Amino acid sequence: MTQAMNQRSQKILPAWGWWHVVAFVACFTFALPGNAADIDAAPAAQSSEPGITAVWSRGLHFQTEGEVVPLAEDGIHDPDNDAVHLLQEPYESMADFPRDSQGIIDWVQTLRQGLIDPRMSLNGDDIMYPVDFDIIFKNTGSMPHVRFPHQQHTEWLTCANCHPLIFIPQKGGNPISMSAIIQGEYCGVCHGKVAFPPTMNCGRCHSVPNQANLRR
Amino acid sequence: MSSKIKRNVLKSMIIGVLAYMGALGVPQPAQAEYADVVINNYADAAGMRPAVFPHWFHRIRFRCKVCHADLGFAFKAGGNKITMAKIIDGKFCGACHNGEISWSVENCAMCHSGNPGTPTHFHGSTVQRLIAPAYKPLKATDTKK
Repeated sequence: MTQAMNQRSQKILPAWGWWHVVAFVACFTFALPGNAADIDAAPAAQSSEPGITAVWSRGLHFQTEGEVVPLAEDGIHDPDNDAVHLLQEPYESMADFPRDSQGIIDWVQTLRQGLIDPRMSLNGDDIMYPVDFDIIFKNTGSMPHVRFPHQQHTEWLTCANCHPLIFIPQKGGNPISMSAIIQGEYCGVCHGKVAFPPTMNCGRCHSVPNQANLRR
Repeated sequence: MSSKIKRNVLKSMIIGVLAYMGALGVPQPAQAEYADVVINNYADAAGMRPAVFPHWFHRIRFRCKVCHADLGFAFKAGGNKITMAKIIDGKFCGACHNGEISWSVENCAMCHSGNPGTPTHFHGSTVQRLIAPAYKPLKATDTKK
């Protein structure tokens, strides 16, 4: 009986060596439409190298340690443009900057260690008004609670950057969720664009122990 | 039986090598710095390379607040509708790039350094990677603020 079933299944299925070919073809059919869609997403004027415009949206380079990518080869600069060689190379200036546990540059530490001294106005004659005022968000489910430190943010920003357009200055007045953040709202206006991204290093925000977890 | 296995192993090895060579041909993602902004609202239509704004370079020299509060840059790639007329008038980039605080607008190719055809986007942005693959280019007539 089992022998008959085996023979039958062997007849239905192709010889198993062919499955590799199927997988191989499948890889390419799944890989190709992605590239094609990216080419379609780019406007009508195409560069001479379609491969470069096809992949721009997936690029990631969090100023990774040990990675040296010259500006002319980074995929968004035009290597035929002579002026690109006049621009400062990123790894030249950021080699010594402190990094967080994910290898992303920790700009708060960079500022506090005095490695950089960014101007506070166009001419550098203004001062910042840092406020030391933490907010703890406790509606985080099973995740550790979120501590929002005003101090670190007001060393870079002024109140009007966030309030009242991005965050209503009212306790519990902002329905913040990870979904909204990843879609670029609330914290996601900066985190995920210039500040460290919400998809890496959860613990930098979710840093306060959650009592619900400790009891378990 | 053993010869059949050998043949299968050989076949899968050949296919594996072919797949590896195929993967080498797939273009690698762009490796620009995190938060580099390509601004291509009007550049392509005007026959210029798109402008590339390196956030990392500017945040070493200025706090966020200087551009995003004092100069009025919105938190949106391509959302400021910057034109050369506004820059020469001292608005947006022109507040510094006027030959006094930084080099002036004669150095066209220092900003207009992007690959032609690259759409307006925020390099490495989470929204762009996970939610919306591209920003829509603005219409060339849409210059009013």
